[in-house]
Amino acid sequence: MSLGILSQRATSSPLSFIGNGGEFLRLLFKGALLQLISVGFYRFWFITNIRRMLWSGTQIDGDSLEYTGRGKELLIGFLVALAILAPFFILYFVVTLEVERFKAFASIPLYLALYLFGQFATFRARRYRLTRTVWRGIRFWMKGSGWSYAFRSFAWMLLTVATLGLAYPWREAALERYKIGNTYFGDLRGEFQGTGWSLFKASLLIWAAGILLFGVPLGYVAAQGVLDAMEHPYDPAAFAIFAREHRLLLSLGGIAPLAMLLVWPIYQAIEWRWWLNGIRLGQISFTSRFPMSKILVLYLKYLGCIIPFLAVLFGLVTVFAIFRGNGPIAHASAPIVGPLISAGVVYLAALLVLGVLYRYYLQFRLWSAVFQTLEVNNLADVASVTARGEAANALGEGLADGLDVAGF
Amino acid sequence: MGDPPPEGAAVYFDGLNACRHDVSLRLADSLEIHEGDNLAARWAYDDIRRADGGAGVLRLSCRSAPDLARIDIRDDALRQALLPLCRRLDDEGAAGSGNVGKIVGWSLAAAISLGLVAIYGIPLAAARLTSLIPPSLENRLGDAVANQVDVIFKRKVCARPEGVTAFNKLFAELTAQADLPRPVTVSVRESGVANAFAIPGERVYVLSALIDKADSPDELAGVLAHELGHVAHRDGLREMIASGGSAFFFGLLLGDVSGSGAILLASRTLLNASHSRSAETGADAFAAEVMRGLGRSPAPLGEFLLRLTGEQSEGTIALLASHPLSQDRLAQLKRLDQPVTGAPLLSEEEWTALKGICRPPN
Repeated sequence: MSLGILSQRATSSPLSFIGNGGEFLRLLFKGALLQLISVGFYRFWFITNIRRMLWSGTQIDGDSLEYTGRGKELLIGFLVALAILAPFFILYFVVTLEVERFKAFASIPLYLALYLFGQFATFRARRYRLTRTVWRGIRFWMKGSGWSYAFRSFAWMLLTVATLGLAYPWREAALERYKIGNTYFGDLRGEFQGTGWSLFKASLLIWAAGILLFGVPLGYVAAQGVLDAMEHPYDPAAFAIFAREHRLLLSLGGIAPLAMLLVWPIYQAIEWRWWLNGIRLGQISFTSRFPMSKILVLYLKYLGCIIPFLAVLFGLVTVFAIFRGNGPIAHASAPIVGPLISAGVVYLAALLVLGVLYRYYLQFRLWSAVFQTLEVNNLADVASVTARGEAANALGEGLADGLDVAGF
Repeated sequence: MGDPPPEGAAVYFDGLNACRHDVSLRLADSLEIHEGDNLAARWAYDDIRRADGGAGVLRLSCRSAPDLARIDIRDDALRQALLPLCRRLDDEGAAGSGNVGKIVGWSLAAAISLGLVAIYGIPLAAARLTSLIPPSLENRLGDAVANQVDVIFKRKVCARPEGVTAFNKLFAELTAQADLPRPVTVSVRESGVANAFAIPGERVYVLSALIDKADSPDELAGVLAHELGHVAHRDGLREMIASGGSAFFFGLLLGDVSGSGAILLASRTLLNASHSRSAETGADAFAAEVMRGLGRSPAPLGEFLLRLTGEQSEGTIALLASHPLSQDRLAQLKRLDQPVTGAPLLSEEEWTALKGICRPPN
């Protein structure tokens, strides 16, 4: 070990993750089964148990985090969210109806209202989770307004769309500045120092590769296609010739989603690292050495598990269908309910296993990898932190659940 | 007095400062937390609860201390000595295990009541609401749907004058017989799909392929009378309320976190389909009534439908289909059949003109 590393150790403390994978898998399977037999209502307790295990397995300077949220709070938050969303949706329905009278499909801008609601929910859900996060007897908490966040997010989204995604890194930086700038640990205030420019530089290679490999050729084909269509409007034969001439470039369009599967985790690793390194809490900062290869390996393992699984499932369904088609039981009044139910059970079982695999590889293992490569600097300052802030309610979590949005 | 109370080392967080205190715990009448010579706090055993401390750590909180005050105990001997004293350690339920039975039980109760609402409540509510909604509001709903119909069928209205005259004559005979409270508007649209449909607000649409495939005025009249049946029963409005209501109800309540969304969708399709099948049967009966009133036979409607769909096998389709099987509909219509007593609804020339309604005007 070199002296440089030793002297650095003097001010930085490691984080570690001591969670047990086998135990977590058991929790996942049990939770998934209970969710199945409770028609989904167990999800509030399931999510809570997952968080409790992840938090308590995470140690900062030898002391583990604690998640103090409870399933019952999530259930109440969800019921309150229902009470808010139900009249909102009815109002939404009426407004949509009135607008549609003037112009068909004119109601699409109204989806923006849902977007704002979703962003509000994301912010408030984050506040709930933070105020349930305790370390050394002190809770994290948050100031700021969910609506203010929602409008910021909306304005930045417009800008991102207008600049064809170029403004995305600056959007992320601005939103994180708002979120983390309003985050406190006791009386210690957070600050986000990551900039849009640094995220842009870090991810430039990926953007450039994406544009060069897919954007330019596909853009070229699209432009040619438009020209071609203008020359021979409504001529399927001309289109077929065009497609044959450009088949190589067009097939890129087929590879693009596959390539995305590999590029996306790499991009995620870059953004994670940028995010962690940008966080400040008073003098405290973080250093992430999260390797890109790690996240890629986890994604590949996940894919490696689900692809054979899906293949087997598909095979089973096919065999089942063939058997049904030629079988002697296919007489006219054969009740279809039996096969329908068994198909439903197979479908649910598949979803269950896929959910477990996802949570294991892309939540548990990823979480573990992130924290094991993270160091926290200048932690000595923390001893003087005094408690402040109250536990927030779970309305945001409920809204996020009702609207199907997620985010941190 | 016997031996001095057992002692052991632990880590204490007072819940006020993020400072880590190395303390010794003394198991006296209550749990005494000593930092050096200082008595930092005293916790009553019955107030002590378990918190999540991670593997190998017993973490305790106390109901009479600050909310977030914690003691972390790693010493196994101390843990063994302390645990029997804290009788109410897991009173509020330990790590998500205590009340699983209760959660599942209540969930199932909720699921059953949701199911009952879906099967009986929503259709009943839709039927009641339908009769409460004034025609003016239904008309507004119809405007919104009509706009979408225009977008889908690109406003390709079939309007060759001779055809329109013949079509209107046929339609007027049917509406006069049907005796509806409000006038019905009808529009013929160009489309390769052989179908006709009614939307809220007394509007009927006929697609041109249906006219092309009809062999006689009675066949087309049967279909139109069937749609008038939907108008008379306000089926479009009721279906809109019922399907909107159930989508709203399930989507909002259960979320899709459980991944059971597709199953719910499937059962909703089954439910909606069964409601719409009964609506179709009702509309067929109405059509038969109208045709009999005009002295014509309702059977051609059934034969036409069977010709359009072909013989349908039971099984999947019977449960999922929104309409009853064509052969069953034909059988029902044949039961209501009667010998033809009235004059033909259209003359040969008028029928030929009607068949040409979608040709460009000459």
